[in-house]
Amino acid sequence: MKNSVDENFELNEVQTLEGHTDRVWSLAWKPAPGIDGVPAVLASCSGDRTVRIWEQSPATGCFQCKAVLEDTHTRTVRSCAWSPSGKFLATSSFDATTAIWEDAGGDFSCVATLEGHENEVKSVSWNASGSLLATCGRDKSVWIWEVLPHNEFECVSVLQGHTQDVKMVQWHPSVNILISCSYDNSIKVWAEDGDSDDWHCVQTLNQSNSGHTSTVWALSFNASGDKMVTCSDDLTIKIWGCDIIRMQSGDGYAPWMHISTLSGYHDRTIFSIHWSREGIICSGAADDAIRFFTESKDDLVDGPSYKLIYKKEKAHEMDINAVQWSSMENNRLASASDDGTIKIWEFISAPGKKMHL
Amino acid sequence: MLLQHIRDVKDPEHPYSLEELKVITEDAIEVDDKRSYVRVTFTPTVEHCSMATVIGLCLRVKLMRSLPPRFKVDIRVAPGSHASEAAVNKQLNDKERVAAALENPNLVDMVDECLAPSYG
Amino acid sequence: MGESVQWIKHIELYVSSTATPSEQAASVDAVATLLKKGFFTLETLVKEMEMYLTTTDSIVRSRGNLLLAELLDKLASKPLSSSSIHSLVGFFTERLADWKALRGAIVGCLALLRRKVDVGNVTNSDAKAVAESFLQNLQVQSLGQHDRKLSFQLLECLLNHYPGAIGDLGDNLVYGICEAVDGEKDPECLLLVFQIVECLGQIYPDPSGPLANYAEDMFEILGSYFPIHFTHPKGEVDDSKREELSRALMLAFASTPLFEPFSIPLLLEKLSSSLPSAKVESFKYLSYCTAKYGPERMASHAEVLWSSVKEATYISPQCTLTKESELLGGMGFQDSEVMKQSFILLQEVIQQYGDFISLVLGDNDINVFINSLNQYKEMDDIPSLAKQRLHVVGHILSTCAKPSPALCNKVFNSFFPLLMESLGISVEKSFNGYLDEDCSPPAEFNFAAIYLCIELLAACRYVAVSLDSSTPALEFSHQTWSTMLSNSCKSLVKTFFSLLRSMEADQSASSGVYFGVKGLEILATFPESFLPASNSLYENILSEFVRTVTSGSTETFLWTLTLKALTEIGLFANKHPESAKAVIFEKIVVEKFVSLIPSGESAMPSSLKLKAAFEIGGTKKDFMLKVVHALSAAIYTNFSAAYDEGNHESGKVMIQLLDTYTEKVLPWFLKIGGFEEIPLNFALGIWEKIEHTKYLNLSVLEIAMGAGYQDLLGAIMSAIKKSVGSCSNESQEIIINKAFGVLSSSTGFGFESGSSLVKEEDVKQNLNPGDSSCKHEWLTSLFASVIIALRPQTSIPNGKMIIQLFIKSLLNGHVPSAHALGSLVNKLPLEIKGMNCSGNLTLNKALDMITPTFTGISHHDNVSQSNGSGIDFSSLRLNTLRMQSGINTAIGLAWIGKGLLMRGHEKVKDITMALLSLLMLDCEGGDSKELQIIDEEDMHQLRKTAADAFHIILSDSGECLSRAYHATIRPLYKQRFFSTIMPIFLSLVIKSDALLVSPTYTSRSMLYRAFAHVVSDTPVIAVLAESKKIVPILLDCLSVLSKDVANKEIIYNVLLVISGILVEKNGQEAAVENAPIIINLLIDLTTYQHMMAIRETAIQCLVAMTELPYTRIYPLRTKVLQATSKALDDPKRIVRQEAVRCRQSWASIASRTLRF
Repeated sequence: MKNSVDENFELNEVQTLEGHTDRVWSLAWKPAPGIDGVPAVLASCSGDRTVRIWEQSPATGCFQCKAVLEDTHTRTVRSCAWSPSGKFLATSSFDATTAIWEDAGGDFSCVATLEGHENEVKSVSWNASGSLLATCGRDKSVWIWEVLPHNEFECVSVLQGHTQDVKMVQWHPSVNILISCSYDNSIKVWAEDGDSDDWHCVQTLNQSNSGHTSTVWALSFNASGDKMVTCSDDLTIKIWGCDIIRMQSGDGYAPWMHISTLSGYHDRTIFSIHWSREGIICSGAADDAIRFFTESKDDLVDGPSYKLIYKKEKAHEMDINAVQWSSMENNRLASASDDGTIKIWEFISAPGKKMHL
Repeated sequence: MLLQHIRDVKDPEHPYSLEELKVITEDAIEVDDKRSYVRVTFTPTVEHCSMATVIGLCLRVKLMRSLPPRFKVDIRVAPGSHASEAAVNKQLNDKERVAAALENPNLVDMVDECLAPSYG
Repeated sequence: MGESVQWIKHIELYVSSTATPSEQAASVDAVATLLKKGFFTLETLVKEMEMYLTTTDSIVRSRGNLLLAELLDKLASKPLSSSSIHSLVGFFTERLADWKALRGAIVGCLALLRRKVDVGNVTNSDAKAVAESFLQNLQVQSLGQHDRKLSFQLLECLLNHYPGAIGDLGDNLVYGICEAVDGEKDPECLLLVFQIVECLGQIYPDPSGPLANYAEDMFEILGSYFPIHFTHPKGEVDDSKREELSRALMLAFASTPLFEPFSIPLLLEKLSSSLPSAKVESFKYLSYCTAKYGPERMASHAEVLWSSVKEATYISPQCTLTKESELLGGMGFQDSEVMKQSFILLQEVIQQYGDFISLVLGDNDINVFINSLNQYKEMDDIPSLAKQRLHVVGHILSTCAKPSPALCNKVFNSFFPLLMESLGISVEKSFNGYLDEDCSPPAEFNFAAIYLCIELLAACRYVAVSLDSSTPALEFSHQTWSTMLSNSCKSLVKTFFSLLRSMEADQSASSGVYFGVKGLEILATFPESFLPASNSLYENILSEFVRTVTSGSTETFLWTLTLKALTEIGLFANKHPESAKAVIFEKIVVEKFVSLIPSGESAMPSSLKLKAAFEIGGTKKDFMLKVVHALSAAIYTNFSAAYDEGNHESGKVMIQLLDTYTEKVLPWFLKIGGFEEIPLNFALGIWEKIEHTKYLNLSVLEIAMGAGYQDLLGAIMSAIKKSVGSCSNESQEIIINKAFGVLSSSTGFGFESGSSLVKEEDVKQNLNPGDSSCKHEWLTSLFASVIIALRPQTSIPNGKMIIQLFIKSLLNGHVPSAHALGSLVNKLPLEIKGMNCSGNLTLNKALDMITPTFTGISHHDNVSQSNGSGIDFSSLRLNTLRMQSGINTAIGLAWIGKGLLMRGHEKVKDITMALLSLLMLDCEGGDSKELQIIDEEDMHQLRKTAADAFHIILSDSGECLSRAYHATIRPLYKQRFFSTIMPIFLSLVIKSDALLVSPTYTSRSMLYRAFAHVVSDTPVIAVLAESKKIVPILLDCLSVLSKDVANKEIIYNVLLVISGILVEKNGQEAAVENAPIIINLLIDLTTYQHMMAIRETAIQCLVAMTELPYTRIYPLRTKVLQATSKALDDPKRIVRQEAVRCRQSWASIASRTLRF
């Protein structure tokens, strides 16, 4: 009985952010390294060729648009990512460039643009230490850039391997492996072998090893990094796992294994997936709905299984392109949609009940 | 109602409106107003019609302009009517690709050309 | 000699190779005029020109020749001596050999040959010489288009004007012509060629003559052009040309029987062409040729012709059921052009060549077909092909029967008995037509047989009528068809009756009903001299029809059909007014229906009664007179019944009677004209009634009839208006006198007092009307209807009193009085000629009485000087004392203003001023004490009325001041009003903007309301001229008005004006400046839920906006797209479609974002 919903949870719409004049593609919460009292900041990018910076006012708790980064990208801005320090924001665009913005106390200046991709750049991601940047795009390639002093960025590797455009790249939270997923239905794992710093594909997850059967749109890791979740146009969500200890110990590569497939929850393409620090997987899809899953402790007989704990139909007027858990507030969630709006949600366990994970 | 929106879409390779060329036929359009869902199945004029994707693109644009935002639209070539059917369908329904395509001025011009009302 | 120098200059200019065509033309004219005036003679000219005419420089020579030729052409009507003509034509004749200077020669010959006898023309011998030289020297086909055309004109001219002279050139000529025309392709030339051939046919009829020898060659050339077909069509331009050519070719084909051996086979062959057009052409030509070639030549082709006709009609019929086929017994067909033409051919052949019919009657297929018909019991059972064939066969048979009694006999002999038999009727003489004695018609009918039988009946009726008109007292009884018919007549009638009766039950259109009625109608419309349809039979039919109509309770198919038939019969019978049939018709039908008008009995609802009576009456003047008398009588009786005894039933009846009178009967008489006494007597009659109605039980009747009461009054009023309106001055004067008499004799009109001006007491006293004033008002209404319809020339007695009367009752809110006053000021003469009519009223006198009452301005002081908002407020005190009378004042002003405006009188200005100050009241009203005591609600009402007055002023009314009621209408009065009022409005708007405090809101909105009326009632052209000025206000106006749902109609009208502006050039310029405001307004209106048309129009306007300069509208693009996406989900389909169009055009200004 998959679709049973745990009535212990409720999702409250906190605020709707309006301002973009075209679909909003992607979101990024600014990381807040442990300092309290720092207001929450959210970056969003859109088909209207702008990036907007939203900041929560300490007084009212409401989010307001603090800055609009425009006139740099000449086409859709597809994705954005904060550097771990929160000092830089990287934005990649259909105009084939990736822009690096420096946040000087709320006013942003474009300090570098990374050119090299033949055409649309679709995703950008910083590694855990902030020393590497990865981009991918329509030209089927994945690029790895090294962050040098004085805002210099040097391309250290161009990874070929996907047979179709690459939809997303994401660094592992603890070890330097890069995951990419693509229109060619496959997920590829890239790693630096030994000390020679050249990168290559160490594993490909596709139909042959119970991977996706259509475009893979996004992926996300859990807090400990021993599991990742991917979502796809084939309307399924897949959970993968690997021996993270071995990986961190550095003695050889530990392959990712298929753990579980969640299907029958969304009935249109699933564009976005994000795993919260507390282990709740959130998915947003073209069916305008948001779903929440968590590992169920019920039956550990054959590995962990995952269950739907909450679903929100018509979370937006139109397709949902991105869902992001806040980097600060554990139960705060942001979602972005084709309807041009961004919504801030609060996902809490109903009063009286304890959230058992 | 719906067909009227599509009727005027022209095949970029032919100066006539699509319906005349039987690229679109009435039965190939399924509308579910309650569920806000539309599926258009079209038949490219020739089996290897290189323009299949462009036609599909035109259809999608036309529908975007003609239907309330609440509608979900799937577009596909009629089964067996096109050599690389699956590929075309996948491309037509990847909204990222569509969005990118529609930021390409040349393509857009062509689309608008196709969507220009056909007199005669 | 000054001229000579001058005209020589002209000549030199003309021949010099530098001269432009226009210069040449000019000099030709110059010289020609000098010649005409006789400054010098043709001889001198020729002498002067000699060197140009003969020089070896061919260019100069040709120009010289041409000049001379063109001069001759211009002098066509100048008498010339035979000698000079002789020498000139001689000159040109020999010049025909000079191909370098040919054109001049041809033109010259033409000019001379076309001359009329009385001014001296070319002799036969000279003409012959021209012809010979032509044949000898000209290679026509080697010439250019223009010269070829000229040569053919020359030939044609020769053949037409000198047939005798050139006739004896014989073979030479014919041969030459063949040569000249062979291979011609140019349409204009071909037209001439065909005419030439036609002439040849007339010149050489002789079957052994020159044409005979060359007939084959000649036709070979002709035939190659059939069917006329343009290889490079250029649209309908040459459709007409094609027609012309085709006709010319046809005449050429038929010009001589000598062509028959070649033309007919060709045409028959073309019949098998796949092109329908070719088929059609061939049939046309065949028909025409058949007529021209004559029977003996055509005899040989008879069988082929029949089979081709049969092929085109019976074998593969091309006819489609028409939409109204249902109403034609399911047999209404539209024939294809091919079929039409083939029927024409059939008709032609039959007429030409009697024996042909044996082919048709003997045709096996047709006989088999007819015999096969028995299997169908219902019209609908017949499969469509069979149905088409049935139609075809019917057509063929009647075509065969129509031309002559003899043919009719043949057709009847071979088919009628068969048909009758299948209807169970015998054509043998017997006591009772049915095969077995005293049987009634069969339960089910063979409809196919009935159809054919009716076709035959129609055909022989046609024959009978044509005979009847031609040979007097023809003995029909000798005719077989006649005998057959007379034997079966009775039974046929029975059959048809039973068809009627069996079907009466069902309401819907049915074949049975249709054919039944049709058959009877035909039988009833045989000429008197035709015995079979005897009078007794005729009476039966009529009575049956009358019974059917009178027993009808609703307008069923049967009912309407029967009534139609009756009128047809009536029209036919009345062709011979003295005939027994006419008499019988009157006795049985007319009297019956006339008698029905008054009588309450008979099941027939009175609406049907009246309809029937009117239709029947329409068949003859005298009948309609009967009807109208019965009608008026009925109206009078019901009048008393209603108003005396308060009988509401007769009230209701009366409304219908009056409607029939005003809507149908009266117009009928007006159409045929010369019946003035009818409306006159009617109007007088009504007033008689009013006079002699003892106690008007108005209140009783009002209670009894409820809403109907007003309808009744309305009906009487429009009846009076219509009849008075259609009377001459004289009659009108009689009526008005009568009416006034009645009024003054009745109490409460204060005429006796003869008080000059309206006193406030009157107003007060009339403000709380008792029951007496109820009658007072009623009478005034009827009297107003008389006044409204008067002609300007009609002189009005006691004008002053009348005006006072109307002013009074108007102040009590009696609108008809306002209409009357409006009509008066519109028509009253400015001054009266002649002394003895001091009593009569002039416009100025009238205005002196009216204006003070309403505007406080006597027409002597001029308002236009007084500032801004028009007149000083105090003058309105009298009437604004009580709001109600204030409102009534506004209404009065509206109609009076309308009257003045339409005749173009400047006083209208004062009126509008007064209205404006009413609707602006509270702007400057702060100071006046009266207003404090006024309830705001009434105030609003008053302003509203004042605003709507402008709508009254500018919109056309059916009540009064229309052409039908002889209003004086100055052209373009609306435009004029618009241009005078617009500046005032603009200043007022600015003024009201100045004091934008809440209390003025209403007055401002009212100002806009008025403005909206004016703008939307003025022809848009006039508005466009001003668009720059008014667009901003128009927008402001919209936004203000759209706050109140009640304004939706007005909003819609304004929106239409805006859309008008948006599509027009300088309107767009005005729009550009306000683009953002307009767009915002329109966007708001796209979701205006109270009226679909507004949403639709707003979106259309948005589409129109995309025509504006790109740079101005691009910024608004996203906004529009966003807004219109809502409209995509509009409940109304039309709106959705418009929305799609709109988004399409906006999105494609430059596609970027697609959503929204």
